[in-house]
Amino acid sequence: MSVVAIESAAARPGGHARRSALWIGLGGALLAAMVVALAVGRVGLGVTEVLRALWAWAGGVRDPAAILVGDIRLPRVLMAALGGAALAAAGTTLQGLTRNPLVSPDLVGASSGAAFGGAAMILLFDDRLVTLAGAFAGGLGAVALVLLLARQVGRRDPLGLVLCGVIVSALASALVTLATVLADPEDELPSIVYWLMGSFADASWSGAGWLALATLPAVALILALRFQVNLLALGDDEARALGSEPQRLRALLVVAVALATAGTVAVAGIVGWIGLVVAHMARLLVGADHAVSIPASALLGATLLLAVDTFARTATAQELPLSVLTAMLGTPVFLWLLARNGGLVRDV
Amino acid sequence: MSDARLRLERVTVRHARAAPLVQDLTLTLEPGEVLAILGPNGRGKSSLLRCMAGLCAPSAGRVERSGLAAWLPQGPGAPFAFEARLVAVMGRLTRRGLLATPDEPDWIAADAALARLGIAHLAHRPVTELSGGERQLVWLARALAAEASLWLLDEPSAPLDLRNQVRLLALLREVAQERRALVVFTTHDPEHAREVGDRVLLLLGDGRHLEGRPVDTLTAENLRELYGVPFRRVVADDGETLLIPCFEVAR
Repeated sequence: MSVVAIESAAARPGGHARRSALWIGLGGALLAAMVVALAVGRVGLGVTEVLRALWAWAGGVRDPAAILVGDIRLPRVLMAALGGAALAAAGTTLQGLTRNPLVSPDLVGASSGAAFGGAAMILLFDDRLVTLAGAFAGGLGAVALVLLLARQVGRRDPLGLVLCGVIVSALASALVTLATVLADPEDELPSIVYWLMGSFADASWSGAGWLALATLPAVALILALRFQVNLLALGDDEARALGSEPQRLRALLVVAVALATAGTVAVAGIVGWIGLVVAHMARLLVGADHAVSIPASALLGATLLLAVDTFARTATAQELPLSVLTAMLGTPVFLWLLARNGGLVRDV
Repeated sequence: MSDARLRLERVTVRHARAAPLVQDLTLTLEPGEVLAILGPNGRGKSSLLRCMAGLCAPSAGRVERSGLAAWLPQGPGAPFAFEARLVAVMGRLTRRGLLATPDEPDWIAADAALARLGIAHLAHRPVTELSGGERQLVWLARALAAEASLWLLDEPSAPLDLRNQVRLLALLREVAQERRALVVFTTHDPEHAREVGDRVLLLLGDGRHLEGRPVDTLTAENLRELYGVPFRRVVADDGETLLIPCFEVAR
């Protein structure tokens, strides 16, 4: 028995080396994107200047270059990377645990719930921190409602979760529209609209702190449970035959997805597509095993959203909204993946 | 080594308000026993098996079971392009805690199980690209790798070719005899029940059932009543008596 096992394990020479090269490549791409993002902008810097400024900033020096790189650009770079990682990891996880490769975090109500929460707070208080908190609470509340509804209608299967998500998202979107109708067109309406379009323009170290607080625990939970996503993707019956309750684990992971998504939407507005497209890109690169594809998604998502955000702030004199860019990038990429792969959605 | 037990006490299975499919079934199975369930389409074989697996509650009566269960549904599959080897190894991970990932012994067991089913060459193929029969073998390897002691299989031979049917029957016999596993499977082939079953359960309809040793239960008369198809008794070259269904299609 062991002879056979050793042979088949060895049947894939260089598997480990390939895996290592892949992680180095993905990590290297993210690092390179970070350095580029720190270098470009209205004041362009060379790579050595960036590194020198970072070093100086870390050492407490506050010359103009150190302030520009360390205090202005670095928090934005970290926020974009963290937001991208959170959205992408959440998307891949959600696809796995709903067994549906067309699901994105927007579909379980997290995004539209957060949009409603944030819009309502802009309408009522117009305080940045309150808006953040309202968006976060709105996203979590919507997902809690989705989980509750799925339970109430007696659908224990993942499709019930998706259908209830669509219902709650539709309601939240209607409420967002209501908020824009009620908003004062002079000041409240533009802030709601710009907030919804998504941007890291007012990034700061405190914003980065809030984002990390909201998303890092969720991402850590997702990464820790990443192999369980495989088991959920394979079906509930086997787990239930063993006497465990997969719905509970699924609900826990949905909450983690909601935390990661709502946290990002709260600070950056609705950034679509990352959660959907990156999952497919990661699967294409590293295979379907969620133990690998979830961390790969996080790295890819971080790199991608950072690149998009860097483009958004440097391409034109005015900042471009992130949601517009991710959709313009996401649509052709998704179509290309669909055509190339011949079947993102496979028959079960 | 096996702790598998399965006890059904006056179990009734029915869908909504329809007439019961199975009524007052009492049955105790011990480790090392193989039970084959036979019955026409729609007579509750799968429903009864799902009750045994704990996937649904019987309409009446009690199901008591213990042991590490492996459940093989009809037409198993995955929505993602998991490698066959990953599917096989997952059987070992379901009871290992939330933070577990497969370690070296898990992969060795998964590869050995794939080899035992003659599909070592499919180890790195995505299961979404395999045929129905190949997928069935992968899922059987998963149960084998999991070292399950209670095997519940819904029509496991349905997608398999003749050679793989032999493999399946040999595997079921082996896990029952050598690992003292308790095996329950549904089938449409009385020969399969006769070949590996220690006991046979016929679902006769209207809640009636007949349970016993294959030699007593699988008679031409009983099978005729079960399926409404006449059976012929044929003595083969080697002296064995076979029951052959008469398909009698006019042409």
